[in-house]
Amino acid sequence: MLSPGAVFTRRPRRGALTCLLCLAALFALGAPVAHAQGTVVASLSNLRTDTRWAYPTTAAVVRRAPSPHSAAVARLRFLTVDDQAELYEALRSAKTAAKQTWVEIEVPGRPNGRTGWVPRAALSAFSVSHEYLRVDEESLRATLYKEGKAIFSAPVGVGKASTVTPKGHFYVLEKLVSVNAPVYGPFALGTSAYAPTLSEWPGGGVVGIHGTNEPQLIPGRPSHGCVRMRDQDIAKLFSLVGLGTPIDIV
Amino acid sequence: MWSSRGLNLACLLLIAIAVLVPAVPASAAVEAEAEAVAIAEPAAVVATTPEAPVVVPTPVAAGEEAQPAPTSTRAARRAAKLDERGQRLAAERSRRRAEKQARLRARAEREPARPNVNLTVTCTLVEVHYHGFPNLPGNTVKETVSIEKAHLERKTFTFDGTEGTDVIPFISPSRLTAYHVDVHGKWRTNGFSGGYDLFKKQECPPKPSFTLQKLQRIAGSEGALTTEPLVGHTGQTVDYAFRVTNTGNVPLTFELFEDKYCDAGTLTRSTMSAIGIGEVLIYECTHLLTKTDEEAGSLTNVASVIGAPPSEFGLGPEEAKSNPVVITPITPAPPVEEKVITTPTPTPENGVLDTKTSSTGTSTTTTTGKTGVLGFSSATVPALKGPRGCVRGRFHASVKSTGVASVTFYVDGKKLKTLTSRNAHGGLLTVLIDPRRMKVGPHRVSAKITMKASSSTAKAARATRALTVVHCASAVVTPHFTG
Repeated sequence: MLSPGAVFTRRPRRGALTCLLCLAALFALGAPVAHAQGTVVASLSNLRTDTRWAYPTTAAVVRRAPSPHSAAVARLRFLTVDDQAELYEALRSAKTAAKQTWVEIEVPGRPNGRTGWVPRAALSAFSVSHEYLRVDEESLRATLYKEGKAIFSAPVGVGKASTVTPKGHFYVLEKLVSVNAPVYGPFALGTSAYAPTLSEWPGGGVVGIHGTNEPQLIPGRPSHGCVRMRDQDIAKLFSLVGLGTPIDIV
Repeated sequence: MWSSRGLNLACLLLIAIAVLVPAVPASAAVEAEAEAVAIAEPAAVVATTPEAPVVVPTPVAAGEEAQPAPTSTRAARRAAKLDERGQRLAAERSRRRAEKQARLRARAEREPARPNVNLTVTCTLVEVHYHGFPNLPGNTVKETVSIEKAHLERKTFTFDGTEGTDVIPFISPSRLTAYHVDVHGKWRTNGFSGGYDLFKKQECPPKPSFTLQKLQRIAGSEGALTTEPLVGHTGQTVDYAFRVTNTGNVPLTFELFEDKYCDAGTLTRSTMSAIGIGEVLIYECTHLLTKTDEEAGSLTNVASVIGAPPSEFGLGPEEAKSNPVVITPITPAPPVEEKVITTPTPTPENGVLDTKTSSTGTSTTTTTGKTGVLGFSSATVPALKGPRGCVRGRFHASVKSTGVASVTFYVDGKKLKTLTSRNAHGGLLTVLIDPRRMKVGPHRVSAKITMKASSSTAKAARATRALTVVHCASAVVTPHFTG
């Protein structure tokens, strides 16, 4: 049985605990840490004409904020679902007050659009892409820009209503020569996008840009989420696009 | 023996009858007789059918023909019900028939669609041309192609408008020069239903055919295999891949593969040498670009391979040559510093880092050993250089030999080779690593470097440098995309 004094002493404690929990949650979310005093942030990519990307050097933890105490978002991977080298698009760098350099990267995977921070040493030296690919689901056209100038455009097929092509910002993860699968045509580009509905698909539902054995369906909306192109178009695009090229699907 | 008294009584009775009978009218006599019968009848039924379970006494009017009694009234009711149901079903059927006819009439008046199909079957494909379909989106046909009663392809073909053509490629059965193709399709779409079924014996004389495609890339580069001309540095390794595709209709066994730029001992191929129709065989090899290559200007070469069909076909082997690929070796350029960020305008106010001070060129090497001791800082111990991204063929890892007494290379902790300053070529201590026996995935390449002791120090400095390489699977794959 509690005495009245005990009741009164508990109330301030509960308030302090709540306050501490809130602070801890804020700390975990990284809201104040990302721009903590002394942390200087610089942009690494404008995602149009200069996009930096790098390979992982360690399977480091990707964190929500540039701090080793921040919540984990994911872990760097070395291989894509097709056993190619995984690469990461670098968005910003942050130099903390403790003189640690962190890099904000895009994290391929479901849900689409995740970003996180890794120590600079977890990534290799940066490569730079000057291309930018835009896929317009309304006009059903893909346009490749180099140094800001359109250098290639072709009609595309995108996902049907039940298996839509996800919209957002992505990048080219891998370049594959397709064999034994006429549905993918001769070449295929693996992207960092994942189909929103086909999570049980082998490989997790990676959205690719590839050729087709049904060119009569292009332009149109025949796919399961991938971007299909006519074989001659994907062959041309394949030769023009490099790894790490940013993609906007709008 | 009649007594006189008895005779008297009999006589009196006869007289009485004779007197009374003319007094009763004939009709009354008949009615009386009928009434007597009517009353007596049920009693007679009961008497004659004593085993009947239920007998309902039913008076029958005089003069009416008596119906034969049913053996069971339940059966009678059932028969009546069945009769009623049959009539109801018949009415429903006729109503539906009339509705369907009306619907068909309305449809025929509305649009004159007459779905039809033209079929073309060859040794490698079935082409189905649909026409006369309703001019609506989403006409859907379920198609099946079977060869020798084995289902090869089942698919749903959808097209918009009145016409659509579907091409269904198939791989003909091996070792058969004639086979039965069964193409079947049916549709129930946009108010129309129908189908087709074609069974055909297809004659396909054996015709060996194959293609050879040569692809190349600089080992360790992030670029994909390509047929395009490349420029490589002397000392770099070129990965070559050769795709042999059986495009004929007989299996083939490949032999006598030739490519003069495959370095000795580097040629590998898929496990099988015989491939079926439509299958792909891949050869791989590497070539180290040498000074001799550089002096020659560029390397242009064509690979060749011979494919032989099984002897039972009585056909000779065929040879195919690849597309030519060109690579131009040049002298390695001095290492180039990574580009400095040129993107946003840095202002301290908006929290953007001064581009000149941002560090974007961190090396992949890590220092894990003793550094900065005995006169050597970690900066003076050379870095370990190696490829980035995917490695598939042999690659080089190297350390600048300046000031290095010896270096021991390791892969995943296993000792590979120790080199001393006497092994230096072009200022580099280089080891050639073949990842093809390693499993696909990341591998750590490290180098334990021992620096030469300077005159002022008694003991040599040691440091470890490491880098991670990723052994990738072939880029010639069936992608795992959603399609």
